Order: sequence, then structure tokens, then C-alpha cells
Amino acid sequence: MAQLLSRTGESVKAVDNVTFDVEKGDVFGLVGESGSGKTTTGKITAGLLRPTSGKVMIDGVDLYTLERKKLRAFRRKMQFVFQDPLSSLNPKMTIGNAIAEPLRYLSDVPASKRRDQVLEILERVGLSPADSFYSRYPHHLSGGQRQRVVIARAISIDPEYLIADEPVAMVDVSVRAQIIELLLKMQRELNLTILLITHDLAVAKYMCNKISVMYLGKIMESGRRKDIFANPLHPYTQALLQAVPIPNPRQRSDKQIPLGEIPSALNPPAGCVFHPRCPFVFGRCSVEVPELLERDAGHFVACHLYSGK
Amino acid sequence: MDALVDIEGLSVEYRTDVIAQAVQDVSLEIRKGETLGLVGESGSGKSTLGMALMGLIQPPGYITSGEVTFDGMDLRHLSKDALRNIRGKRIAMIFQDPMTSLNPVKKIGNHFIEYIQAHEPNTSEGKARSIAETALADLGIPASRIDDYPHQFSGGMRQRVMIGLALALSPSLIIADEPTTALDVIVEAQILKLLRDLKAKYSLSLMLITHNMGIVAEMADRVAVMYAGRIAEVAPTTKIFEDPKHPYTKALLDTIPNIQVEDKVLNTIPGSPPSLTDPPPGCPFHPRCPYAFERCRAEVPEPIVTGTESEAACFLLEGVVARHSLK
Repeated sequence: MAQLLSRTGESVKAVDNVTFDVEKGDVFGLVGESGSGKTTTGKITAGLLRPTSGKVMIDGVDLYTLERKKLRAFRRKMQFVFQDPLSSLNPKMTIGNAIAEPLRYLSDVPASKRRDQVLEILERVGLSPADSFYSRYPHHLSGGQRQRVVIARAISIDPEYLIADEPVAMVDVSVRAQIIELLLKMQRELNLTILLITHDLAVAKYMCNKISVMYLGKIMESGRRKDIFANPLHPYTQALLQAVPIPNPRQRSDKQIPLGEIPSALNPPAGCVFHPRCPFVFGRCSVEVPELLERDAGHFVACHLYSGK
Repeated sequence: MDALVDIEGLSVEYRTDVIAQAVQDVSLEIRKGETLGLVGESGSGKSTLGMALMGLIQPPGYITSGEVTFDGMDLRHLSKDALRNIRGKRIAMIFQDPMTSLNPVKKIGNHFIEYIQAHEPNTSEGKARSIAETALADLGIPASRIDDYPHQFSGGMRQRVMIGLALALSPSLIIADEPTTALDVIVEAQILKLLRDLKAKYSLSLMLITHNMGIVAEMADRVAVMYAGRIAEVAPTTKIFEDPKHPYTKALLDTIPNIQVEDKVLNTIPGSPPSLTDPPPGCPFHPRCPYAFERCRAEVPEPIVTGTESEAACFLLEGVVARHSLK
């Protein structure tokens, strides 16, 4: 559970009363539009941002009760992959050094074996022949190759938990599938737990076993992949699924698209945060915040349409 | 259907330290009243092609060959004044990021007034303002917000304004370059619906430039697929999706996840799009193509007619089409 107030003049509740469990070795998706709080939530789970209330438990340990040193040790088990590989890589550092860096500071691999280890990791992420990539610079590489380097660097110290924040949003369409498959391969081979943060429902559907849908800092719905895609309960989830353009020209239809846009987190609507845009809104919605309740086994929804029944 | 735009053998290059062949030998038409989807990845030349239609290629960009005809007029050899009369009034463009296209210190209404008066100096301010009011109504924006500033508008409303500006002088062709890429999915759906409705209302032709196959499937009548500056395939939308002929189109369709398909296996295309400054010889897709053979590495394939209104530039289709036409 995490509740956060980032302090920038006015306070913004970026994430509010968020609860979810990520199982070890699973790929969990946090899906939402920009401003939904998904990235903030990801940072909190990695120990990078202290929540104003709530707990983050990892392997039974409450992350934010750990003293500094221990927290740092804990963070070694976690790695990030961000959207833009170019801004994640130092343009003046060779690919080999970029991957060796975490090995130097965060692992026990002796200096003499570092190069071999880096070469092995390069092969593993499909940058082959590894020798030819080792001394190149980021600007020599294509966007997809750079994202492979970022993934290589993330897995170099054998993390247990990987937070992938929009890992394919900036990658060319024809290269996206490669990066998705690489992440899934790493997850299987290293038994990684992945938190995938994405706005792209199709990517989430392809990669994740469990998904939480966020809107304006709150979880609207959580469940297994098939719960979310075959039986979406929350009107917001339904709207999102409706809105996604389907690559099938025979499925053009008049969509029911909600009006308006995601409101400012500075001044969120009272009651259910989605109520001003919801086609099924009724009296209670503008007054009372709906709780995230289990509707079917493992399928949670925060909506008054389902509460009290 | 009549062609509104006819592009013949167009090539555009950018000359900096090196030469980038952005568009190479492209022939394409845009018909009256149609939505043509122009699909490609970054660097495929799709935006450059749109800019060429607007007469907006400027150094270091150069049109090195080819013709662009709009409504019977040769756009490449028009005088600057004549071109200015077409740009905005007959052909208008919508870009990806509305915030960089709108002046932050200018009221929404004044954007309309200045835009209209820049093209039609004889229009009075009152008349221009009433055009703006009609436009806002079309866009679903309350008239009371005409004196707001861009920052008071949400991202979706700003993109609506851009669409309104593009339509303000009643053009016959709109070129929309990734008009929803900066927007969230629900707002994207709203904007696409608006484009569709206004296109029908004003019988426009629309060239929709995008990397998103889903958007093309929902919007386009015909699709042109670009790769590394060349047209790989052109066909009616249903044909592109159901019977793609070019190996690149096929691979691209197999590589995109679809939320409506259960357990689809994503095929990956090896490698990445080629560099425009150092393109491979022959067919630009050959280094990634599973069917490439000797000829593909040496020769650039010409478009081959593959069916009604369909063409694809691939040597594999030569035999197939020849056999087909023998029947």
C-alpha cells in the first residue's frame, strides 16, 4: 500500500491507496494513461520514492523500514529499464563499460573476469558477435540495439526484480516484438519478477499474467489477463479497451468513447475519480470513493456498480 | 475515383555531412474524398512525403526528381505566390504535437484570425472570428472558450484546435502526420472520430500518416506502406490486412500485438530499419527478409500489379502475378 505526496509547491496525490501483489517470477502489468500514477508506483516499489503512507513488502521485508545501508543492498536486487534508451546510456561510455559498471560497483565479479562476463551478457541479449559491440558507443547502435544494451546492463548483476517502464514505447514498430520477446526470455531464464509499466494494452496483454489498471492515482481494476480482457468490469477499463485501435478493418464500429480527458491530479474529482466521465454514473459515485473489492476470485474492481451486491 | 494528388517518381534527399535518401522514386495518388493511410516506421520517409506535398521541403532537403500534381497543377514549378495560395487554402497539415504548433501567448480565437487573415488578407476580423466560432462548434469546444490561451486547454482540445485551424480555409486535402501519437488512447479515439466526422461533413481527402496499423485499419480506405524511403505496397485496406503481398507488410502485421486475438504468437523481424545515409543495395528490406535471394541484393524491385488497385514492389511476386494473369 502506498500513498504519496510529492512536494512541489502544491501537493499532488500522485498515487492514492494503491494495493497489489506481484508474485515471484511473474510479469505484472501496471496499465494506465499518462498521469495515472503508474510510474510513481513503480518507483515506490523499487525503493526510490518514499510513500507518505503505506508499505512495500518485498520477500516479507518492509522496504521503507530498512535502514539506508540495507535498503541499498536491497536495491541491488532491483533494476530499471526505461522508455528512452538513449537518455539512459552515457554517450561517452562504450557499451562494454556501460554493462561493466554495475558489475564493478554492485557485484563480486573480480576485475579480471569482468570482460568475459560482459561478453556473455551481450550474447545473451542478442548483441552478437559480442566482441564487435563491446567497444562501440551508443550512437553507433540502432534504437532496438540500445534498448538491448539497457536490458543487458539491468540483468548484469543478476537482479530478482525488474521494473520495465514503457520499454517499447520508443522502439520502432518492427523491432518492438524483439524487445518484448527478449524481456520474456530474460524473465524465464533468470526467473525474474517483472513489473511492466505501460500505456499499451496490447503489450500488457501479450506480456503479463496479472494486470492492474490505474486512473488518476488509483487502481480501478486488478485481475488476471483474462479477467481484464475478456471480462472487464470497471467502466474505465471497458472504455480503454473500446478505444484501442484494432488492426482489423472489418471491425470498425461506432465506439462509445467517454467524453473529456483525465483531470488534473492537483484537483481530483470527489468520490470515484472516474465519475465525471463515466457513462454509468449515479448519485453515490460523486460522493463516496469506491473500495477495491474482490468481485470474483482474484478479480478486483473499485466501482459502486458492483459494491454492496 | 479521380486523383486529387498525383505523385510521380518523387525523390527527396537531405544533404548535411552525408546525404540521406529520405524518399526514393515514390509514385502515389490521393483520390478525391478518400482516406489514404501512409504507414511506416521512423525514417521510412512518410513525413518527408507529406512535407513535399505541402511544398515545405527546404534546405538541407531537396527534391531531386519527380512530379507532384495537385488538382492539375504542377506543385514543383509553381511560383511562391501560387504555392502560398494552395498551402493552407487547398492543402492543410496537422502535426503530432499541438503544443509546439500553438503560440502560448496568443488566444485561441486569435490563432484563427491570424491564420485566416494571413491567407486571405481581405477577410475582416469579425468575419474571421465568426469562422473561428463555427470551427469551435464543429470541434465540440464551447464558444465561450474562444478567448482562452492554449495552456488552458487539455492536450486533446489543443489537437482539436489544430484540426479546426487546418479546416478554417476549407481545403480539399488534409495531411495529418501522426495526429494522435502524443495523446492517450481514449483521447486518441475521440480525435480519430472527429477527423472521420469532419472529413465526411466537408467531403475532404485525408492523408493519414502513422506508424500505427490499428489506426490505419480503422480509418483508411487505401493503405500505402513505406519502408526506407520507398513504397513497399499499396492496396485497399482490407487487402493489406487480409492478403498482404509484400514480405515487409506481412512481417509487420505478424509483429503487432492485438488485444482481440487470444494468445497470438508475435513474430519478430530480425534486425532494424536500414540507415538512410548508407542504405543496402537492391531492395531495402532484403537484409531482414526471410525470402531474399540473389536478385534482391542487386536490383531495386519495381512495383508489380498484384490485383485490383494493388501493387507491391517485390521480385517474389513477378512469377506469381504472371501465372495469375495467364489464367
